[in-house]
Amino acid sequence: MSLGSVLLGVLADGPAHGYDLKRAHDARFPAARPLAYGQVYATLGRLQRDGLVEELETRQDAGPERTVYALTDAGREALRHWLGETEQPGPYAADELVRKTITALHTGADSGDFLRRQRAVHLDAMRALTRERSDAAEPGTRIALDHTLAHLDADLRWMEETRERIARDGTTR
Amino acid sequence: MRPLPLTIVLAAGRGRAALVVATTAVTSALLLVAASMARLGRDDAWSSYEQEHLFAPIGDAGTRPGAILAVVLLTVPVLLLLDQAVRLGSTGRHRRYTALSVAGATRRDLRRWAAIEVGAPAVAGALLGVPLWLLLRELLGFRLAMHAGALVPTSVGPGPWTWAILAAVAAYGVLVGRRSGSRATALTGRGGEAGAPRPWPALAVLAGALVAISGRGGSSSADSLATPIAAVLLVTLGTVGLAPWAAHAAGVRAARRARRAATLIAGRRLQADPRPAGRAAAAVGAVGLTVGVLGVFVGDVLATTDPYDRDDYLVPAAIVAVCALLAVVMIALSIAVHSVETTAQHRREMAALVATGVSSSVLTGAQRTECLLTSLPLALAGSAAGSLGYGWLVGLSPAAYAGGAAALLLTASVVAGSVLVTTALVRPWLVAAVDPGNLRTA
Amino acid sequence: MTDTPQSILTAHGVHKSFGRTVALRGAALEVQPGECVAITGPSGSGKSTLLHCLAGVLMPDSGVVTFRGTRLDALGVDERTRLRRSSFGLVLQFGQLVPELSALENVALPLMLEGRRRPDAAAAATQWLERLEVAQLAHTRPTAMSGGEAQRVAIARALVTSPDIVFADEPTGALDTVTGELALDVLVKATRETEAALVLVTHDNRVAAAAEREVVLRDGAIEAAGDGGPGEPT
Repeated sequence: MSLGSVLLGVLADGPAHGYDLKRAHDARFPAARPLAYGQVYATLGRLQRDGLVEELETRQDAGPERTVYALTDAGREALRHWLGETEQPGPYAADELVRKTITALHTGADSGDFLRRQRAVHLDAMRALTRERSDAAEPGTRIALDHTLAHLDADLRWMEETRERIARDGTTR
Repeated sequence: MRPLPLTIVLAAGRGRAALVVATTAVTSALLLVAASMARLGRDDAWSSYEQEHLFAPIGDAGTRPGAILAVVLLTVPVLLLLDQAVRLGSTGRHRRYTALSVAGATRRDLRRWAAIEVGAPAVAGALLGVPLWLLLRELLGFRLAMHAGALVPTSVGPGPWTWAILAAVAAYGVLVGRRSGSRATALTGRGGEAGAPRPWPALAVLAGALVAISGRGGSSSADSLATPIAAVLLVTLGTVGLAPWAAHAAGVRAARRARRAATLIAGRRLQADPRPAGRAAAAVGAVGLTVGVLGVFVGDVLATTDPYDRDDYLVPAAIVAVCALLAVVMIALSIAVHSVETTAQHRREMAALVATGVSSSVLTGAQRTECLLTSLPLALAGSAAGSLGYGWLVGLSPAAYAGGAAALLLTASVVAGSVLVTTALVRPWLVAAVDPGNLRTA
Repeated sequence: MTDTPQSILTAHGVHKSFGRTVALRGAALEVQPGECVAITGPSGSGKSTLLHCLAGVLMPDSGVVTFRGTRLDALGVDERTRLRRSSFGLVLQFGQLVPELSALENVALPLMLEGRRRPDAAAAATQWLERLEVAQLAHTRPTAMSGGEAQRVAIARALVTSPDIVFADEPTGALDTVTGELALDVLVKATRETEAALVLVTHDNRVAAAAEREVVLRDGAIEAAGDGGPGEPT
């Protein structure tokens, strides 16, 4: 669902065709691997099947024929839902966290509120791990827990910095 | 642009520079007076007395060395205050020197600057000593000669000694500055634990007592003052050397027996840093000694001298007493300065203590106890030693002892009073030091 | 005792400025008996100032702080000092022990001020030093201790009067991660055992995770939320 959600986020800026979506995605997430066209069209197909996007028109300006896609109401709702949902904290949550935050920024959603709630979820996880760690007798267990705690801590610090940055600059644009 | 030395002196703080100027000026004036006494004609005591109407112990070539010694000893509390003044703001200075050394100043540079910081005002003070001496000669020489015996010779000045004295005072200032510089630049060992002081200087006191006893058995002619002077010197040096040990011991005892938190803090503070308190207490002891001698002297004069002649003795005695009191004020000031300094150094700990529910009155109490713990016993001991020793030397009389007892009471109340006033005076600094703002991480 | 938990400490509308710098603008907080709350927030958000106001060290310009229903501003300076001594404990980042006193004397000091006889005070202090595993430092002065050791002694001093609340301002801020973690463990466990509440100011998420609850301070006011997620009561 994650790539689909990101594409929904790009489409929130306005209707676009597949090539535009790929370029926008690659520009937003320069650290991520560039999207393959096949991936874009497969994902769009799934989104269309689920009624989240619709074909708006088919254009042909001196080149290959291109289909322009737009968000449906259901798509807008799905995007809003995704942006509002907190992520599972854990070693693999970070990427999704970054994508969601940046997407929220572009769509103008309240990333501050999201980050605040995400912080609570992260801290809950850390609380449980901390309790576990202070009860752990085995040094190996403590060290493993330290590793996870350190990553969660890094996430939290990133979220904090992001909030500061957003508060200062408004947007990244 | 200001010349560099002036900039350095101003950076060190005007208050500190002013104190250095004042103390060195007083020191050099006192030494000039002592030198002019030393240059009085040796041959015919009577003629110089006639000529200048000098106070008898000064006019008399036999007792004159004792008088000179007394004047020189008067510089001790002043020099203590100088030493304390140099320490003023040491925390800030340490920070400044650290910044300067980061900026590329070598430790030699820093020591030189420190020497200038103190040396420049010291040179100024030493020079100012000359007009101050002239003032003293006018007031305590010419003017006093009309009423009673003059305390400052008017027929001779310090002559070529002037240069030596000015140079010595200025050099001492530079030396003190250099020393403070190497203290401030030392990376470790600030407030260093030099180990507990040892009671070896007691041997000097013992030797002094032996000298006094042996001298008394022999001829007691007025000419042979060498023995008492040697005794006084030995006892004084011994007491000064012993004072840090006494302060340390008093601290340990007080802390061990303390029931109140203030006493505990006071005792442990003395134990941790007995030297400044000990030095100040030694000076208080010296003043006590003087006042003790004075008490017996005045008692003796009142009992044995014809009322018509009394003024000849009492006016100079009163002047000596005033000097002694001024010395107590000087010492109290030096204690105050030290107290401000330690308080400022432990600003954070102080503030934390108050934040945990120790009222600032407990801290003031600790400060008061710390000062009294050392100065009061030494003042009493000095006073008792002075009155008993002098009474024993000149011969006993009940009136003399009454005077001694009065001196004891006077010393005790003046010392206690000045400690109270001092701690009250530094209270604003203490209150500022315990401000919760000092709890911030910085 | 009432059946519902009553807040032991409350703060409402706390404002505090230093000159032209506004540190707190309407901060509010409630602390339940025995709970552990972390106050977090970016640097300069007013965390320490809030802690000092809660602990009666600073008086707010406006707003009310109550302890067991008593307004702190209604107390005189001396009464407040006594309250801090008997009902509050305070642990700072560093530099809070009297440098001239031994560990034992530092810990015994608040009890002596409470009027306890010195042998009693020393005995109680020894017990706490043992409990925090620093009994061997009883006669050592703070200048000769490591940071972690000094913090343990400071924790002993904060707890020796059996306070109702312990306030800790960046208690691990001057320690390395591992030493800090151990000191924090000790602080949390010891306050829990004595059933004292613990109010912890920190910018460190890992320290905040030791608390049961977090309140975030931003620009001098408490941020909503922080209640998200299933915080299991301990």
